[in-house]
Amino acid sequence: MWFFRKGNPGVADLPFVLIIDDDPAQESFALELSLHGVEAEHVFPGAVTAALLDDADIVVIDEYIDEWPEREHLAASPSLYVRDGIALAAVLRAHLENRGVNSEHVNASRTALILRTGKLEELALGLPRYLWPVVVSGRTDLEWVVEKQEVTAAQIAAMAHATRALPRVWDPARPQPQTEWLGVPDGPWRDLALSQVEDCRPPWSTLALTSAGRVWLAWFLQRILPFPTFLIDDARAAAQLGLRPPALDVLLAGDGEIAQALRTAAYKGELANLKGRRWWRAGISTLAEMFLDDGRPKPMDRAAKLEALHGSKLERLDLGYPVFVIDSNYETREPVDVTAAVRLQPDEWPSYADSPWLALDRIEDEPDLAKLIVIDDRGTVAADDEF
Amino acid sequence: MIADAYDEHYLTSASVVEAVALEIRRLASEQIPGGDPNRHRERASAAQSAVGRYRALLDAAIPRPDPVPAALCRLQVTFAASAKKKRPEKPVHAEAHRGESESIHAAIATSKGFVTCDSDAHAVATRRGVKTTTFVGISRGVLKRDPALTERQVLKELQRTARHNIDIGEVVNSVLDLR
Repeated sequence: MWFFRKGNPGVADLPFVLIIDDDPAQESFALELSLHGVEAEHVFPGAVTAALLDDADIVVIDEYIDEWPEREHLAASPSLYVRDGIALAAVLRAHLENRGVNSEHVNASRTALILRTGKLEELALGLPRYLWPVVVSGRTDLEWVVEKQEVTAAQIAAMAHATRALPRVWDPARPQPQTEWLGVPDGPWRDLALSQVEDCRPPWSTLALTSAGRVWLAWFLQRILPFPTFLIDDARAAAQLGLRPPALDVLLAGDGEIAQALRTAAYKGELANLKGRRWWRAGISTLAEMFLDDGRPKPMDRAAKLEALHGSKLERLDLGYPVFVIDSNYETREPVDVTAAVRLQPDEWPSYADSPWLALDRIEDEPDLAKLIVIDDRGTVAADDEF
Repeated sequence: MIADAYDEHYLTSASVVEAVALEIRRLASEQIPGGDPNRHRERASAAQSAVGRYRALLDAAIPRPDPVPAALCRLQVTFAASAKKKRPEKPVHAEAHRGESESIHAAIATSKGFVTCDSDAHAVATRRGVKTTTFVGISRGVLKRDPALTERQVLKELQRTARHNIDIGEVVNSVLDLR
């Protein structure tokens, strides 16, 4: 069936998802995927062909492969025995890049490899839960890692579309294809957004070129979307405006300038539907500056002005300087005032992302996080303890 | 670090009005009771540093005009009315907002800008055509002028200052906010 996929008259050239899994039930997942504007095919590990692999935009690989009869007679040979999905991914990557002693030339492959596992916790070896996919994908040279129980067909399809749409030209001096992929809108804050993107160290030159854009995708999935960077989530966008997240939808439902500016500030790039709504940091700050600040760049003043413009009460945050605290899983919790928290410096947290904080009243209950308090704030904690 | 860069790039053109100089000296000599529930200790400490570091600037403070011009009186009345509107139950002290009023008045007279982290002072100054900036704004300025200073260093210092209950005028969460 696969050899009809490309160049078949009348068939749209859709992104292709190859699912490698020893579970026959994955046929139905492939069917489900096809409802999201992609082609998908499920094969057993031993049935993977070079043609299938070379056609794929993304390959979704099962982590624990029990049923693979062709493999079993190699069990006594550690270098031949493909133990799990991560090992298989490494073998497939070598094929995709045409590496090896008899290879005439190494190819840059844009095919993204995604591990799908039901036991991410075991792979993450005791790391805070929020970091599991970030760390495991980074350590194992995979573009992303998803949990079987949580990932949806729509999310896999979104990644396939995003991979297919990866830019072909990589020149940081002319980043038009990259800004289109990111979905940076034209408007008063475009330059600010681009400078913030640049501050987040995008691999948009040599690395992206020599990986056909694969590292760009990995950067976006592993270093940008999970953290508050040039894109921020509802809670942070609302906090910048002195509000709580539900107020954003109230504002969006309006038809004035604020609603329009807010709609423009929403991230609509290739992976907009992967991890919940995101906003351009530059879009939100510029909205505040243009419509709300009057020389008062403070969240509580902004909330008051927004209420006046909107004509009704909005759900306010009522914090002078809101900062976001994390828990022991590194999940972001309710914001607190800056005077009631200390800064943390956890492993893997990008230096360009918003600082994570620990509430002062949680220090005793979170001993592992307390070890991560920045040197600067440790003295203050000790001084606070004296009173 | 920000103060060093400020001194190098801005101090020669800086001035301060008498009311602000007096307020800084008052805060520097403030006796903080044990427990410090309102976290004034850091504020007092910052004021002590300022008194030591900017003695010459404070000594040369612009005196309050005598007689007090009508424009300056109007500024004080504006601030008092705003304070009364915000907290009607709290009596407004006669000397309240003298620093802001005198600063705006002096800024108009000298065609200079005005550094303040107070929202009301921002608004009043802006309505009178006086450009204002915050501590964060000044920090952005020194970052542009001083290549030896990194955004990370400035972020850390601003966040430390905010943690100590000192108003820096804006919320900065990341180096991206310093653009």
